[in-house]
Amino acid sequence: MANPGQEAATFKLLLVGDGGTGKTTFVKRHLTGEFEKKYIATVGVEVRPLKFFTNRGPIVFNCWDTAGQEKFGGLRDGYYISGNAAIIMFDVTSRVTYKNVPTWHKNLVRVCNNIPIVLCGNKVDIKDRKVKAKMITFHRKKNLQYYDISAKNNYNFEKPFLWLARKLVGDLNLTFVEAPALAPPEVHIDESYKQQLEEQMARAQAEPVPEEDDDM
Amino acid sequence: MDDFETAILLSLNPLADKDAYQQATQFVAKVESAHDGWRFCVERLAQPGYRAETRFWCLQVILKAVQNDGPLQAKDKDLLRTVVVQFIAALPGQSASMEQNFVVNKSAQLFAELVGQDYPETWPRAFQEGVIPLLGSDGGKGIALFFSLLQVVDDDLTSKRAAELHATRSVRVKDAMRGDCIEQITSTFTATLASNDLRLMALALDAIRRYSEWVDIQLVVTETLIGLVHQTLGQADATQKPLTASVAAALRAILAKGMPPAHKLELLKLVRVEDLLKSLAMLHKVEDDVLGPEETDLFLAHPQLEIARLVNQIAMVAIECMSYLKSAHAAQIAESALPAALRLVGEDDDPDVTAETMEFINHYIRLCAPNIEANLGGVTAVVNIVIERSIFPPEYNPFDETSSFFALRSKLMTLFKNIVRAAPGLCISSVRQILNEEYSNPEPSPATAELAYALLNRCQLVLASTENADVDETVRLALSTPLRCLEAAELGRKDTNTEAQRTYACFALFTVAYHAHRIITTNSDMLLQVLSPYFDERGLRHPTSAIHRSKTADFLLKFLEKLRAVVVQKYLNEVVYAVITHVGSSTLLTANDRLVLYETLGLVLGFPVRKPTSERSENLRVVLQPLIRELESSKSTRDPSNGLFAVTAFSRVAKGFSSSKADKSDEDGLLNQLWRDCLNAVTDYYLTFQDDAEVNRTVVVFAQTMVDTSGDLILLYIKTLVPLLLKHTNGPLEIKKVLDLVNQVGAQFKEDAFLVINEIFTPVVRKTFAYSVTVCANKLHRSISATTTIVSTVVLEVVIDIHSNILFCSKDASNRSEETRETQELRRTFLSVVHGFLTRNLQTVLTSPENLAILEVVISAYLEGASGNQFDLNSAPSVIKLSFQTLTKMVSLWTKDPNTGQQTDVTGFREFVVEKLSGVCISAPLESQYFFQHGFNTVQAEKALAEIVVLQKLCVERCGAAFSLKLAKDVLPMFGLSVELSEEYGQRVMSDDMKTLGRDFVGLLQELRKIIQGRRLH
Repeated sequence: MANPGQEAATFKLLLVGDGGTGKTTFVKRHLTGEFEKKYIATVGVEVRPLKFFTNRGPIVFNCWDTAGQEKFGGLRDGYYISGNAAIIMFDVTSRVTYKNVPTWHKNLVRVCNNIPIVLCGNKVDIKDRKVKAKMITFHRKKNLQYYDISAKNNYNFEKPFLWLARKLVGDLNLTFVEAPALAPPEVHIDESYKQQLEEQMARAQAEPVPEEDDDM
Repeated sequence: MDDFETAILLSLNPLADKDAYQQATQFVAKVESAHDGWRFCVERLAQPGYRAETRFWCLQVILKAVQNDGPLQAKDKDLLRTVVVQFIAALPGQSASMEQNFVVNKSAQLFAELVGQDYPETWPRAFQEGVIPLLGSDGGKGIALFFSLLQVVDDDLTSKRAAELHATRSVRVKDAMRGDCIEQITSTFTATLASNDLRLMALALDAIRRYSEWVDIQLVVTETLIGLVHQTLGQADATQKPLTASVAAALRAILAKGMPPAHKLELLKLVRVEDLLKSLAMLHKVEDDVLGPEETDLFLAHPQLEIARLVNQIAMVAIECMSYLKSAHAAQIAESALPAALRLVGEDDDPDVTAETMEFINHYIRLCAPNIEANLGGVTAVVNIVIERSIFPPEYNPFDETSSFFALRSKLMTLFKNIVRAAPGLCISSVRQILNEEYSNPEPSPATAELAYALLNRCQLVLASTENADVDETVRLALSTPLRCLEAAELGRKDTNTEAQRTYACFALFTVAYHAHRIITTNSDMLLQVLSPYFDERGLRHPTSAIHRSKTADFLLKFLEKLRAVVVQKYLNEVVYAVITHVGSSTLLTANDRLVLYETLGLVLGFPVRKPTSERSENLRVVLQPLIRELESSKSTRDPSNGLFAVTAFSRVAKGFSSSKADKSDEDGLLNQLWRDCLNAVTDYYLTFQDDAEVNRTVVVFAQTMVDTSGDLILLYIKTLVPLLLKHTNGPLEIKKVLDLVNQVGAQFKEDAFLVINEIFTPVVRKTFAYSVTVCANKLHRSISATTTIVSTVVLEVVIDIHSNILFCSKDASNRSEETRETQELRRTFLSVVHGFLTRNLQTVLTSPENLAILEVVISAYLEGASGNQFDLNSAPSVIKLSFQTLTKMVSLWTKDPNTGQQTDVTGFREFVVEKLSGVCISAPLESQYFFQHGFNTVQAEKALAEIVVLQKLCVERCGAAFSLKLAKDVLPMFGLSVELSEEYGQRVMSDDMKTLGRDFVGLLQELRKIIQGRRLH
């Protein structure tokens, strides 16, 4: 159990993925609860601490929110040195952002050996989805964890952090004991749409993994 | 540490002092972008004492220079090749910190980049100089480095993905390696497998996994490998050995290699897979099923999952051989894979393990289906294991979606559905057996009840199209006699997990009921009996669980939606009474639950009947009047919150009447009076609370529902509501909802809505355009201005400018920001709304004296939409198409038809057609980002271009030679097309052959694009 006043375990969390996939919005949503509609490209890297309270004590993810756009990349994979965990983000309404996931993954693992990585498909609140659940197979080939998420309506919002926290602490029963303070979702995800997303994901999981990157 | 290293370390640390960080970042950026920055880094790389981060950064700068290629001369490349080979050769002898993995990988990346560029032509001995010598250096360290290099070479040059990105380069490297070094490399794989170093063996297996896809299979499938496979996976002592995952993954990759079926069958025999499968069926999972430390960084799954993948691969290869070669031996292999697959499903809690074996099990079941009796043993074994594994474990809470059982169960249910398809009789008799056992069980368990209902539901889903007597009978039994463990008396006697499982059992029963509408319709006497659990403690009155009650409300709505006819014919009063007793405020149900019940009432009462009775309007009155009173009380207490609920409840009830097309009867008058009372009450309420944002949003939804429900009664109210809604709504999404309402009014009432729409149109346009902003730079805006004002040489300059900038714009992530998306959605809706007016006899709204002043704004929206540039690339073609369709409609409605004499010209429109539309037809597709990226030949592009051709033809038809002359004399020459070709196209537009004109138009655009590109290069 957590002790009051216990010092927080701190981890360097790398957030990577193409520009415009919602990395900064995702972090800001956790940090302040706001949902940023404007797009302002991140230059280089911005580091923001995200604190979570768990049944095993507080955890801080120092979140290294890196530039997705090549022209603003700064030191790029130099920022990955000493990373403890990573989230690779793509936008389910943009195929090219998923197509680039293997490159982000390759660059990450060349610097950070053997760290837990979560792949997140963001913007699932948008109904005109271009990267369907059955097309998302990369995580299975590389044995990563995958979540559909939406920073806009908070869908699966805390799951990437929970999974990473469990891996980093080495306790599969770790839970968050205090929900992060979030603003209400911008849009409510339709229950039937949510169910549809989950069913698609379940069906996709039941499909055999293509031998190579046919869908890339 | 010198200043250079200090700067690098600072620049990697944004948490350092801000000024120091910025200074350092500027310094390293300057070095990186300097012409000879790479040379500076080569010098530093050779110097001892630098930290790994500094070396990494130096390697990155050099790599970037090599990738850019521009500044490097041949002698520079020679130097770099020597430097990188020396650097790599020195790595095994250096201290641990120098060998940091990221430095090794970055140097390997640089090596692979040089190989990709220069091997074999300029650098034929790349592998002999850079890779093979490592095998002789410093024992294990050199061999590990050898494998690290091969990993990166594979990732960047020879893997399938690398081949997709740079096909020629990949083929060149692989061909050269085959002649030069592949035998040396693969013999190292085999030699390493024979060593006792687990880390090196894991690396060798990883290399086999990567390289077996394109090297000669005999080079990797050696006796040593086969021996290791059997030693690791094929031992009968049933213990899991080190490297299990690596060995399984390597063998799977070998079996996945593209080969003719006959060769594959030979390979299966060579590897002795039947022995292997027998052992794998007995290889029980160890408690700690994790990867060994020697293989954790090789992207492998845990051992049992890799085994599951291997078993599936072997079985699928065997099935493939069986189908192509009709081989009995292959069939035998597939058959012997079943026990191993079932052992994995039965033993492993990881849902992925089940998922990985499902492909084979599904195939197996399908193969057995034609002769199920002969294969009953195998299929029954599969059914039993699925049932055994699907029951909720005692400690499982089904509301915990993060539990691995949640995912496992979902996969098992999918598998069960597949089995139902192949062996329905076997499945339904298994379900019946579970139910019968539970009926006679003095202590029935919620988990078993849930399982029985869940499996029964899968049978219903799969066999929905066929009336299966066994399924129908079991469903009738389940619904008429729910298991006792769901009953109220049992509540509260068990722990939280059991209660959650009981809730899920109730939901499973409601799901069965939802899918039983056919049975209930033909046995309508059972309806009230089936409804009973929804209204007692098994449903809406559940004493402890709010989720249970809420979900029950949802289930009830769905259930009654399909049985409205039965309810209206036989049980209207009973059902309405049962629901209405729950809609009032209560501590048990939330506001949202009550709204769902109002929707249920609306659905039941609104069902269209041929001969309505006063019973319906009387029931509706009982439902609506308390809500009207709530609105009045809300007004008198100056508190909008109660009223909000009432307005939403009206919307929900009204929804059920939207499809009501009953015969006219006395009842209509009664219903109309009730809706009028609602509309009056809501309008009064809205006038009081119009400043409240939530009230605005709720009233928009109410008005949208009433358009479908109340008939033309609503028109009078729309006139009052819309201007107020526009006044008080903010943001593109909310304005869009008002636009949707206006569109709905137009669609529903057509020309009857003229007076109302005519009055509100100008405020609607003004509000819409106050929120529409131009995206993607001023240049596009300039082009639009140029197109809409005057066709001049400015257009050509702008198009050239756009072609230069299009690459940047289309990749600009800001096009996908939420803010842009909302604005685009508003614009798109506006374009559809006005298009709707033109097609529904409401065109005079646009040209009436009240709205003429904003006609130019409206037309401009379509001229802007014609290129699609203000929209994302996915929706651009449909917007282009819609814009041209609308412009065509305008030309057709607003210019006189010379053949029939129909229509009169709208003043000035004919001149607009000749002067402006002639230019838009050419400039819009040329400046369009969509056409630039996707060309003119995709299906969507062709559809959009076809609309432009239709517009040109109509313009010629209505305006005669003036239009074609404008094209030939002004527009096309301005784009640089020769006078002859311009005139030739002008002639073709006059011809009657649309098909030919379509082809000519695409040809013209391609020609113009070439001219523009030529000018841009100059």
